[in-house]
Amino acid sequence: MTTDSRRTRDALDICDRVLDAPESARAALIDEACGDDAGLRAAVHSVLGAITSADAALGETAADSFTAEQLVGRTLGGCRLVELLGEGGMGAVYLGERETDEFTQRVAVKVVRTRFLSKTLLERFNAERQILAGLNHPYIAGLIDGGTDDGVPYLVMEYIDGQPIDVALDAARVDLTGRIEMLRKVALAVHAAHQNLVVHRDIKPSNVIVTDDGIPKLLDFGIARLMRAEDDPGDGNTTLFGAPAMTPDYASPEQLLDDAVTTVSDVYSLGVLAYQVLVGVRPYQVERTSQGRMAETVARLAIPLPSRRLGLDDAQSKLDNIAQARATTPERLRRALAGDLDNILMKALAQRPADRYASVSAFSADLGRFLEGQPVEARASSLAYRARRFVSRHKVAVGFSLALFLSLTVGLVATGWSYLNAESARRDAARQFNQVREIARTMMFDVFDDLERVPGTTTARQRLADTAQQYLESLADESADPAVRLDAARGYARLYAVLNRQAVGGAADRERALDAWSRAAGILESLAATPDADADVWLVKGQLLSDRGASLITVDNDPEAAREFLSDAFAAFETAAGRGLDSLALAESRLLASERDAETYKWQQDYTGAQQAVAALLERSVAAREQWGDTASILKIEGDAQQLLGEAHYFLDDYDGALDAYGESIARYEQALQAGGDDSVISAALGVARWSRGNTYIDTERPERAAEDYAAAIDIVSVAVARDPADTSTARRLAILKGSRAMALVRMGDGEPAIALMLEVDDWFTSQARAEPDTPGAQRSLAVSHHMTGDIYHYAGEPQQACSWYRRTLDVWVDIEARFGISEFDAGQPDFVRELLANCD
Amino acid sequence: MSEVTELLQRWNSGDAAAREAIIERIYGELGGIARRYLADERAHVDLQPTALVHEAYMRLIGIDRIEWQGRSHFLAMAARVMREYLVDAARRRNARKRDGGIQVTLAGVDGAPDQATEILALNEALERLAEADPDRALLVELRFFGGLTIEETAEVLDTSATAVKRSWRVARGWLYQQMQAGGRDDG
Repeated sequence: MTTDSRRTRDALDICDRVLDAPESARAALIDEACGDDAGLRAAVHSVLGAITSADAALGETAADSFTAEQLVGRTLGGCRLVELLGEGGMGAVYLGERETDEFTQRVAVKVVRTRFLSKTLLERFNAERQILAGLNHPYIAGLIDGGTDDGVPYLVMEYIDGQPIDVALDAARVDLTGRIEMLRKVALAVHAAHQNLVVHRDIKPSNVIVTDDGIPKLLDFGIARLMRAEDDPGDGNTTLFGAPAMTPDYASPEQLLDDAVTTVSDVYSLGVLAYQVLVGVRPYQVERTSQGRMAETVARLAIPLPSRRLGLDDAQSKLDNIAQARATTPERLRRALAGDLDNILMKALAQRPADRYASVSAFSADLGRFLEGQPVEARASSLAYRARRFVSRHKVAVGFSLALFLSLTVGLVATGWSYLNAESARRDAARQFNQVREIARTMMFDVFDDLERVPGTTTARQRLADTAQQYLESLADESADPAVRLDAARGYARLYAVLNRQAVGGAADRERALDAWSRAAGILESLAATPDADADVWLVKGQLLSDRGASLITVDNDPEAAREFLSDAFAAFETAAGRGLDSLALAESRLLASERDAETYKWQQDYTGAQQAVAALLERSVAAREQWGDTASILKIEGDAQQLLGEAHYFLDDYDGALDAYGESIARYEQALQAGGDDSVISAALGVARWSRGNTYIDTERPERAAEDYAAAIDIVSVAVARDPADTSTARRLAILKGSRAMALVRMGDGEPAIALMLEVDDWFTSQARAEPDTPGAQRSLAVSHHMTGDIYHYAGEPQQACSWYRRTLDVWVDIEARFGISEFDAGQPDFVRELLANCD
Repeated sequence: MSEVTELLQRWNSGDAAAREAIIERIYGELGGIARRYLADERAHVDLQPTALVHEAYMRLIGIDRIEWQGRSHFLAMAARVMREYLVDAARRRNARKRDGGIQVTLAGVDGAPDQATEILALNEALERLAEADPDRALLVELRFFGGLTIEETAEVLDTSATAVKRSWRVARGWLYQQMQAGGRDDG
């Protein structure tokens, strides 16, 4: 230790003792401690002076010198502190008594710790206090007084004697209607505050007290903000273990991530409160939030539908208690929550502020509409919402849709048609019937299958469907033979599937599709009624129901209804099996229906449900493989199921689980190819699985692995592109995959190859945009591609280049805005790019 | 039991490797979170230490679940890691600022002029204090960088709250003087 160091230490030690000593004894103490050492004496005085300056500049530390208990009995701002009610890192709350002219008022006194409260912050504290003083509302516990007493900042609040809202409502066994009415009162209070530009920030049951008279009182308005101020001291300190300024279980995603907090954040927290008060449990499982990975959990909050939350992980006795406290049964409670209340709460709890109710009063108004039986504003989450969700999760590579990309030579179309024509030409009266039947079968079962794999054959398929329908009508009408009629039913079922697949846009096609479905169902109905009907009737019926379920999921976006059809399908398969049918087709159909059933849960964002459904499917599949061997089709379905499972794990934040499942999926597809399955379809699925796993690797910061998967997917898609260079949709997928790979490379630190690859991708999108200058979609893709190019440069550490690409991005958006208008989906994009540019020179 | 809790227990029973593992974890978490902020928000981030640390802890461990002894260790270590992290970030920020590149501001409150520089100055002053009085420097580290309360600091240092308060006040005065004087005054 140097001399200087020793002197510093001695001086500091002496200062310790001086501060401990009474004022009168200090001079003598310094004399005695320093003796003749003038240097030491000067150092001591210098430090003592600095302590005084620091105290003045950084704020008194008065409150720190009292423990919470020690303040009891003291008087702050005219209130005697009677009893310590609670204590947290930021301060303590006391029951206080305040003498007024006529009586003694009971009040709550909040004392704010001043550890790091600098002068600036103290000013802010006072400014906020003024705002709070302006909040007068019957449902808000008012601020009576506040200020600083001997360096201790304090707030005097109305003291509320009552119970937290959840406890109070349960104790009084208030039914759903009563609960909603109570929540609307709370909303009134929050709304009143919002009108005064005060955001609560910490709405939770313990801050909503219901008095014995049944009046709700909102506590701690804006206190969170005050606390927050202390959390962000101006002197470089950081407060780690003070009570958080919000409560994670109730905080909005933006609060948890420390983004801008607005009145809409309160909509979210009120949504959590409403969820808890109505359903009886909070929307999230605490385990998941506290286990770590907070930000990722937040970014992917999967909130179970209120009507499905009950029983997810609760004992029956708990359910019974919850229902009893709501004067109903668990089953009725679930039914009451299903539908409108589901939708209302989910809207309040939307991840993105823009997807929530715009205000607390809009939330409350929808609850009011529900009570009055009017249509509510909230709808089941829309496709656009889900698409946004998908995009936000897979920022890197959007657009590689789950649709399978198709490949086969265009030649088949011609072959199909010439075959048809030849057959027609050779038709003669005697053989007409059988030929028609044969043609119908061929068309429906073989040609369609082939055509489906040929890109760009939509019109051809349409015409084929028209022709087929004519044949089918003659079959269904002219023959009484059950086998033929069953074929006709199969034909209609297939026609339904085909029409439906291309009907996503057109209402007329959907009507025709439904018509085909009804005809098939009608034929099967009458066949089933015949005395010794073939077991195949029920197989076909099951397939028909299962197909309807599939299109209800993807086309109609109605997974609930889909599940009903699927459940009927299972029943039909059951009957078929009961009638002695034991075929590979039946096994496959059952598996396919199970896969679709699992799909319905995914569609509802019920990933736990999806996991359970997949588990059931896999069990069944193992049995099927034991009986029928490892057929390509079973392996393909298993691959699909594993892929779904991967997605479910992914959304539930179980990345390891997701990676495992994607791995399984890839293995199954590879086996299926080995087993001689349809090369193009399975390869396509394999490409998707590789791509999904790559994305998960990106999210878990393993870009090397991601790059490998992307490379494999690129190989697969490149083959398809080479087969049919004219097919732009496949080429587009290839470009997107290459972009993904570029992102992975740059994350690995391989900036140069990443940039080269991305520029290649951007070239492709540029040429597409030039080829179709008046197509908004192509221009939009160009903007997205430019943006990504900018990002790649940004990650590669070339900010100048990044900025130049962001500028080009903005130009494209501005052009789109002027010429076509910007869709709701992209509404925030131009401003986002502007924000990025604000940072450029 | 979380992995971190387990590591803490191993460290308590004398396993030095466990301590290193924990530090690595905390540092990794902080860095990971910071990177993610940068990645998501792109080039214009207010990198708030409070946010970082809250997140790091929530990710690593439910802090309340650690039994007390483990908690003390953990807090002390976290303070150290946070200090290193903030100093690193401040250095990087200053370097980048000179290059006119990405700006990472360690935002505190409105009008905080230059937090990065302040943190570096504080860090230097603290290093000097550590030469003279290592115990007091540790106390400052806990309070400043770890954000520990008086009571928590006392617990970690195994002393009384009164002693911590006094020692803290003296240290704060000394550091204040050092930073005002640009770090040249020996006080």
